[in-house]
Parts: sequence; C-alpha cells; structure tokens
Amino acid sequence: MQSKVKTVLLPVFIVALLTGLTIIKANAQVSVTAKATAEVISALTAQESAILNFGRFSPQTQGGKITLSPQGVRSVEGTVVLGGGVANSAKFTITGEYEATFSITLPSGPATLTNTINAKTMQVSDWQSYPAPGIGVGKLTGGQTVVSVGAVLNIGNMLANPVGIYTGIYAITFVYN
Amino acid sequence: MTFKRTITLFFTILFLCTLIETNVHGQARVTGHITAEVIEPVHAVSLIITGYDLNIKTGKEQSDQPFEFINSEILNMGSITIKSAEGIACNIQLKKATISDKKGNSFTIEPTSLTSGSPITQREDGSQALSLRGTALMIKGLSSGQYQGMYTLVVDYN
Repeated sequence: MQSKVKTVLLPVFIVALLTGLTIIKANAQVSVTAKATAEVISALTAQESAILNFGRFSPQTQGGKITLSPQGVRSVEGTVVLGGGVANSAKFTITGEYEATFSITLPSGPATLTNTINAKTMQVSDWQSYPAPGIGVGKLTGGQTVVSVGAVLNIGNMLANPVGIYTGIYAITFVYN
Repeated sequence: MTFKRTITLFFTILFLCTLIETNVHGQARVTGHITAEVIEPVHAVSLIITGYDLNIKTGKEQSDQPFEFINSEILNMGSITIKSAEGIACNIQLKKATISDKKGNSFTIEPTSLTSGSPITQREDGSQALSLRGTALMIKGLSSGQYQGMYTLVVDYN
C-alpha cells in the first residue's frame, strides 16, 4: 500500500515542481480546470551571407582607424590610405516565424584579427548593426530578413601591422522575443 | 486508475520537455568572419627633367597654325619610378601644368606617359618606370624669357 502511494505521489510532485504550480489551499478540496496553450513556431536560424571585409589599405607611418558602417561605407582616420578593391559590411540572413520580432546582441568586446603569416594582430571594436542592436529590433517580414553589421578596425603603423591578410571571427546572437 | 495517471503524467512531462526544446531553437548564435588586407604604400621616385629651352616660332610660321596655339613642341620630361603592392592595379593621373613668367605671360604643358600611350594607366606589377613626354602649347604673343610652373602626377590604388 505504501509503495503504491509513493508511485502516485512522486510523479505528481514532479509535475507540480516543473510547472510551478502552488497549492494555495491544502485544507480544502478545490477543483480547477486550467487551459494550457502552446504555439509551435519555426526555429530561428541565422546564416552569414557576407563576411565583414575591411578591404585593402596601407597604414603608412602612424596607422589609424577604418570605420566600416553597416551600410558598407568606409571612412578612415590617421595616416591610413584606402587601397580599393572589395570592402563590405557583414550580412546575416535571419529566418523564422512570419512577422516575428527578434533581438540582436553584438559582441561585447573587441575581436582580434591575426596576420596569416607573421601572427601580428589588430583589433576590431565598436560594433554596429542595422537594425541597431536591442530587444525586438528585428522583424522577420515574410519570415526572413537581413541584418548588416559594421565595426571599427584599429590599425597600427607598418611595423605593427605589416603587409598581409588578417583574419578573425566574432559571435553575434539573435533571439526571439 | 493509477496506471492512467502515470501515463498522463508521463505525457505531461514529455510535453514540457518539448517546450524546453522549442525554447532552445528560439535563439541563433552565429560566428561571423572578418578579413582585412594590408598592402604596400605607393612610392614614387622622381627622375623628372625640370628645365627646358623652347623655341618661339617666327611670324611666318605662326600664320600656318589654324588655332590659337601657334607652336607645340614635344618635350622629354624624364621618368618616374613607381613602387606599389605587387599584383594590385593603381591609377596614374597626369595633370597639365601652367607655366608663367613674371609679367603674367603663360602657356601650358600637357604631360603624357609613353609607357602605355595613355595618361591614365593601370599597373599590375609592383614596380613601373614611366617615361614622360609633354606637349608645350604656346599661344600668340608669347615673349621670350624664363617661365615657371608645376604639374601634378597622382598615383593611387583602385
């Protein structure tokens, strides 16, 4: 008999714990009919459709900064001279539930780019996105949208950042609201 | 009855687990990639000739010219060596010079590059020696004397 009671009470306790239900009145029997609803929606997916490419440039004597806006516009500070070629902001294709909104979280710190030959580094900071980062800023119009990401590349002089290709990675998070 | 409850609880727990799984798919964390390329700055070494002796033609010779310019003379303007990043094209622009004397008389020299036959060229290798020629266009009434001026050569990456 005792074993049977255990068998019944244990699952009840587990369910009560998981659902957060609280029994308010234990000394009286109350019958409550509760309705539970759930909506299964499409999973949120994100795919990098264009990498963040600062393009070609020469730091010259002092170095400086290249700001690459989410719209893909480059601007320079210091002695940096742009060298043409292809440069573009990052693009992420977000797919999920129709008309759902989502939040964008950019990296909280800088990312490091490393020279593929001599391991010299430079930093990418001041992340920007379009739509701007925040809660519920993105909307999946038609179940899909594109988020653009830009940043600032901090460049040393020719000694600190000699000729070569520099690469790095960063993480960006998208969450349903 | 007990069996029925147990089954009900089992499916309830299963349903809750499904909700937890759905919540995981409500977030997408993706790794982005970054690239940048540092290239050599453009260097230019000048071997340009800066002094010329130009002939002003006589009145009879002047009358044969159909336009305002009565005399044009080809000048050897020397050369310039350009060193840029290997395999990356760059533009070369030559801008004409206005040469003047102290009295305000002036004429123009239009420099061109003989290397390509075009004043604006794209170079694919790291080093180029450009031979420069100029055309001096002198107008009527130009007096003899010393004239000075400057011209500009701009080299930049595409």
